[in-house]
Amino acid sequence: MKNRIKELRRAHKLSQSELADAVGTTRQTITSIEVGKYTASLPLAYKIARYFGLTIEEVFDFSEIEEE
Amino acid sequence: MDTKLEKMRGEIRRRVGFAGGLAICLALLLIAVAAGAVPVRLDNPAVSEFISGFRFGVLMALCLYFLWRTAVYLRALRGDGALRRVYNREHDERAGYIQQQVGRSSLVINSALLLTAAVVAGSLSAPVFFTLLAVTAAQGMIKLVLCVYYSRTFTAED
Repeated sequence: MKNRIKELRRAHKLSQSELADAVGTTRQTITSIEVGKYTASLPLAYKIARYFGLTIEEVFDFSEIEEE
Repeated sequence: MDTKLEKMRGEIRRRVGFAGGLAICLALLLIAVAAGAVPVRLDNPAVSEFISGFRFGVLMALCLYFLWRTAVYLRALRGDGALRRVYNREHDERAGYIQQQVGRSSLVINSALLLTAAVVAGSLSAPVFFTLLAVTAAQGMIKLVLCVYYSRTFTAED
């Protein structure tokens, strides 16, 4: 699933490790989500979106699911 | 999060005691085995020597593993940052998902390997054949029981 995490992280000058620590996960998970290899669970997606002060839809691209 | 971290700290302290205690017990057992207090006496001296060496190696590996785990847990108790990283690593959803996939795949592969080994060993030894067959059947039963358990755990009835 496409998302804006990398872009948001760069805008906030955050490393993957810092974001991972902030949302309670590992750097590897953040990397996998960023490149679309792993889809975050609803609670993790919520934590990431809330961390950036956005909604889940503003961070994650659901267009592929909508097309289905 | 702080409550979770406090719980984790208690859990890590318990693990330090467990892993450290186990490492000491294994070290004592290793010394006993090295001193020849628990000899392997089989008809074939070559097999006895092999089993003796294998046992020593396994005990040594386990002892080193638990010493390493004790060091890892002690390091986690140094501060909140280290503890939080251990907590995040142990509760990482992607790691959990990987474990699920590994468990699912390895069960199928193990069953196939056990059945193959049973067929091959069947032409050499009846006890080995029945042992492997029993292990395969037990593995299948365990999977069935776990399937029923988790189906009920994740099902809500109206």
